[in-house]
Amino acid sequence: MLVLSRKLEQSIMIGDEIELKVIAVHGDTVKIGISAPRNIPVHRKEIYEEIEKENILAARMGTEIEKIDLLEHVFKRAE
Amino acid sequence: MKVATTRFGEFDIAEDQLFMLSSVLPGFPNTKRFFYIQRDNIKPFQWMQSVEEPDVTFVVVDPASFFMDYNPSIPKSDLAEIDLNNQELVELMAIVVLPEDMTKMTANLKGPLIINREKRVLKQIFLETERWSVRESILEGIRKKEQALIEQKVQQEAQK
Repeated sequence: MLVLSRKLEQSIMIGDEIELKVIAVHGDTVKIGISAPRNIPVHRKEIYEEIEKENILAARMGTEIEKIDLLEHVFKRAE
Repeated sequence: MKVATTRFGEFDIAEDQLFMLSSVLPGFPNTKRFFYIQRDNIKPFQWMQSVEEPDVTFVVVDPASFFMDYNPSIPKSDLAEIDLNNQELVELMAIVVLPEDMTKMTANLKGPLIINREKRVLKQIFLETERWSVRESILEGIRKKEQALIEQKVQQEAQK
């Protein structure tokens, strides 16, 4: 991993179009401004990981056909 | 084309029934295409079956069926990726988790699927909001919806 030191208001360019800028530093929190073309997805890593985890859980749990039948039963009873 | 599935056996699926992912579905890098399996007895739920991976099946649902106030703003960049420039035309789907205790079933409203049905392309997006979580209780959604309907009726009666 490339490691660069930056001061407040300084930036890093990735290619010609992506700019990361240090906006503020408070204790252990760094605020980063990101300018990137619209077709480049930018996400906090923990959101991506959270959704990945949930997808894997969803595929593993509850897609059995029997469970769906149970679901039908539950909804009939609720009506 | 013939598609093998672990849970449902073999399907003969027409090309125009296949939906292409515009970017990787997190956790499933080998899946590129899905098709939907609908059955009357499981409405409003459907299955979403991977073409490339026979054992990858999701239960999905239109969030509007259970969550009356779910109306997320979808980033333009995400819409552009599925070839839409207008949020009105987008179709939303939420991935469902059905645990052992079915009363605890949840829908992922933080990472909904957005679909362009005409172009048959879909993508899972990540909402940068704390308003919706990856585990929204479906039963709670139903309860709120029913309560709102009752309140609406009571108000109508009161106005008579």
